[in-house]
Amino acid sequence: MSALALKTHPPGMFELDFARHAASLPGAGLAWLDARRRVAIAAFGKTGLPTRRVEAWKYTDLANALEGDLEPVSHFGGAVDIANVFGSKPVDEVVLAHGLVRHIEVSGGLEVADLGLLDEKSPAWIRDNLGMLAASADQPLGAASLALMRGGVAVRVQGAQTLHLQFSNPALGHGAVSNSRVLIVVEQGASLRLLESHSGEPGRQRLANLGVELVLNANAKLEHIRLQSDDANALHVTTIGASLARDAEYRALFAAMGARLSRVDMNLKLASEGARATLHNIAVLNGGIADITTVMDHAAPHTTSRQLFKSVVGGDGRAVTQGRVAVRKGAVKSDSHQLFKALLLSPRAEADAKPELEIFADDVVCGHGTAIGALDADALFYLRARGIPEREAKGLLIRAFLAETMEGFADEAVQDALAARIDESLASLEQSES
Amino acid sequence: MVAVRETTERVADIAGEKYKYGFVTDIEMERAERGLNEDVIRFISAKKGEPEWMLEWRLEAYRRWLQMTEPNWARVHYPKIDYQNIYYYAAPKSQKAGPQSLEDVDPKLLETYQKLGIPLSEQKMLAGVAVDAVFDSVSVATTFKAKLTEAGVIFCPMSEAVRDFPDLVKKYLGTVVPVTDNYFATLNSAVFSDGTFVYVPKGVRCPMELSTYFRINASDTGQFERTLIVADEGSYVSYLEGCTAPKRDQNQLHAAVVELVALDNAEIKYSTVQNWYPGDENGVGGIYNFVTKRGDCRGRGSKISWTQVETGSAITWKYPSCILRGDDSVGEFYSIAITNNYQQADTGTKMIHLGKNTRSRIVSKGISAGKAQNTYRGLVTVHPKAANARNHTQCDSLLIGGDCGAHTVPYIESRNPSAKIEHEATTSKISDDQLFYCRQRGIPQEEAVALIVNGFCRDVLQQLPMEFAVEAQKLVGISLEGSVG
Repeated sequence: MSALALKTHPPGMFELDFARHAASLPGAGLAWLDARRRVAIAAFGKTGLPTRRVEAWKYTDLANALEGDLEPVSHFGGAVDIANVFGSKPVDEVVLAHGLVRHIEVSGGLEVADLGLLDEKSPAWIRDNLGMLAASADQPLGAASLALMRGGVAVRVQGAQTLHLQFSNPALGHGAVSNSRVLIVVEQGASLRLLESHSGEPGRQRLANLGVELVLNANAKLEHIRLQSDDANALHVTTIGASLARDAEYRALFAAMGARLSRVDMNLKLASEGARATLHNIAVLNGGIADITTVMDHAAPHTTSRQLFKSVVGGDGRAVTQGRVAVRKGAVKSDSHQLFKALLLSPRAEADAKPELEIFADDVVCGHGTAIGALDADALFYLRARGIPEREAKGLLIRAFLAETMEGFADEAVQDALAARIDESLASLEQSES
Repeated sequence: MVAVRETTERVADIAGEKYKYGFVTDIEMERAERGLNEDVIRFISAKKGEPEWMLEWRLEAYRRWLQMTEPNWARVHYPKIDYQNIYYYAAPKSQKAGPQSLEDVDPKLLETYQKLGIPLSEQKMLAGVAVDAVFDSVSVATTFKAKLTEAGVIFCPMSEAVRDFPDLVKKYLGTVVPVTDNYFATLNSAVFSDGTFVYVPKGVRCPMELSTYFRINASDTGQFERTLIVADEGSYVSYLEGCTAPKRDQNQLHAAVVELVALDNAEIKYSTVQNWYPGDENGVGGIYNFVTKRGDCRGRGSKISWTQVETGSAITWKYPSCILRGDDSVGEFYSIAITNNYQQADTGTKMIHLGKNTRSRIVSKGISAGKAQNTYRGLVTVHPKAANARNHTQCDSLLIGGDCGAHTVPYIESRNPSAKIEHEATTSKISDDQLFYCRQRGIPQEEAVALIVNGFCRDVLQQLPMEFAVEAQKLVGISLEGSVG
């Protein structure tokens, strides 16, 4: 392990932060939280800031992308631009600036707490859950986000709810790193539509390091729509840990559209019979790296997972898709499928895929498929022969390529809003092509 | 009715077999001292009567090896190997004089070959196979030499090639698998005892299938073959490699290196059936097989095709690969890997697309039974200059029983927009419907499984030369014996 930690750059940024500020972090003095933070920083220390020598980070060199020391953000008093990226304004929303809660607006049915204000009066459901997921050594950045957590939000759901989490990253005068957490607990039989958006302004390099815990109790439903479109210089790592109890259902649509480096690192555990997970991912990028790395952990019999990842890559962008489906011993009748597709639109674009299967039970149906290539020349010719200009024809084909990922998610307003954002990204892609 | 009789015969064959090559031949051995140091390497080199440059090459490899660490990324687990507790050289004593014909060969050796079923004497016309049999580390008999010489094909033990064709060996040895390639290949470079050298001249289609049977015999003897096949412009050669080993409890290390070079428009077909001792039902004993195989499609329009049936060895660590350097070159990998009991296999391929219009195809079938672990690990990479590269990969895994594991770890990297890469993989168990269908027609459970598995493997079995295909089909059945309750 020591060989893995050799080239961390800058050396020990997170460990230094912990050494200096552990005593002043939110909730410091709460024995349970202090203990979890200590375990987490040790877990992070096993790899340090990952380089390509760490197998799970083979295609995404975070350590190398950092330009220098980043200062932790613990206060932010500046203006926050609240853009409603998902069309019609949802009733309940939480706005965060650099991972720190700026304002909370919720009605009944949702319990929401600011993780920047944890104290001994914090409710038991936070104490029971916070830091139990997305903080192990397998997810080093998630561990760091817990150890160094400056803020974030905890949500407990009863009944059927919709919530919008808006992450805004206004310009700062210095290189900055924000460490924050989100905890969502969906109680038995409850359901939540979670809209999550990340946007940012141009400026000095910053790393948004977010750890997300999703706890779905029996029969709970969570629909998770996430849109990340940030400045071309920004770094985003979101570590998600999810646990699904009996007959719980998780459906997610993620879209990554811009950042110098973005990574979603998800570990989803199908912990009990009948749990189902569907994860769709769209990446449209003109440069930089968009990485989605998942582990679907079939830990119980009769569990189902579906993954569909589609990437459109122009410029010198690089799409990374890594998915591991693990079926544990005894998890019979596990049913899993993953499909990764990438379109490469420029000579410098790159797509890397690693769809892994790790099966320890015999009565299972698991499969994966991967396809990487350019736009179909015949289809393009067909459209051009009917008088459709090249750029328009390409746009049509790309939209058609992405369309199936969005089917069935959220409502029309959200889908339209997403489609509009995709069109914007595609427009800039096409421009760089011609 | 013929079909019925054939089936009955096959069943009888299977029933009587298990590991039919598990016997030990008692022959006086000449050994190097146990362990590895520069003196042992000098001893091996001297035994072979090698020129100075070859010795230097070995020593350089040894010095590099000392600085390397054993790789641990594969999904295989085994007790730490004590490299100082292995004999690195063993030669049958009676070989000293160098047999000129079959009469000169130790009759005990001939007996061994007969048990193995090697077509060395009367069978040679029937099978049409030229055999360069390696008994432990030294080649003892070579047949069909005259016919091959007529065609200009060089087919001889590596030690002979070093002596007789030093320019060819120097030109190609280590150019596909460099001395420092990996831990096991470097070890091989230092201590390789023998192996096969093949050179097919320009425009020659090798008149027969070339074949070498490797056989590990002396207890505690690692076997380190080195094979180099060069197909010059416009030539074609098909090479068969088959392996058996006597049954015994001591783990035996095997670290071979195979290098293939295909020049412009040349084609090499390399087929392997590997059924070395896999250890017993409790995972005791068996061969450790750490092999580096790589082909270089160096010329335009060249083609290299790997076909392997891996049923033996306690541990298999093997990734026959193709470097598609020449424009329009083609690489193929067809594989069946069967693991039963406590066997572990981590095998797959690398297709490295460097040239324009290069094509590759991967078909991998993994079958896991008992408490075995079977991993496919593969890389397909398309470099920016490899315009219009094309790859299709299919890897399927079959699980028999709830205690085994099947894993797929493909790496797919594309850096050229005109390249097309497709990959598909499935994992499942034997279909209950298929099994029921067979059972209903009176086919016993075990045989039905063998039948279904053979069907599952058909795409790969079809790629084998005829002589191998028959043996391989039987092996599929034998390997899975006892896996169905």
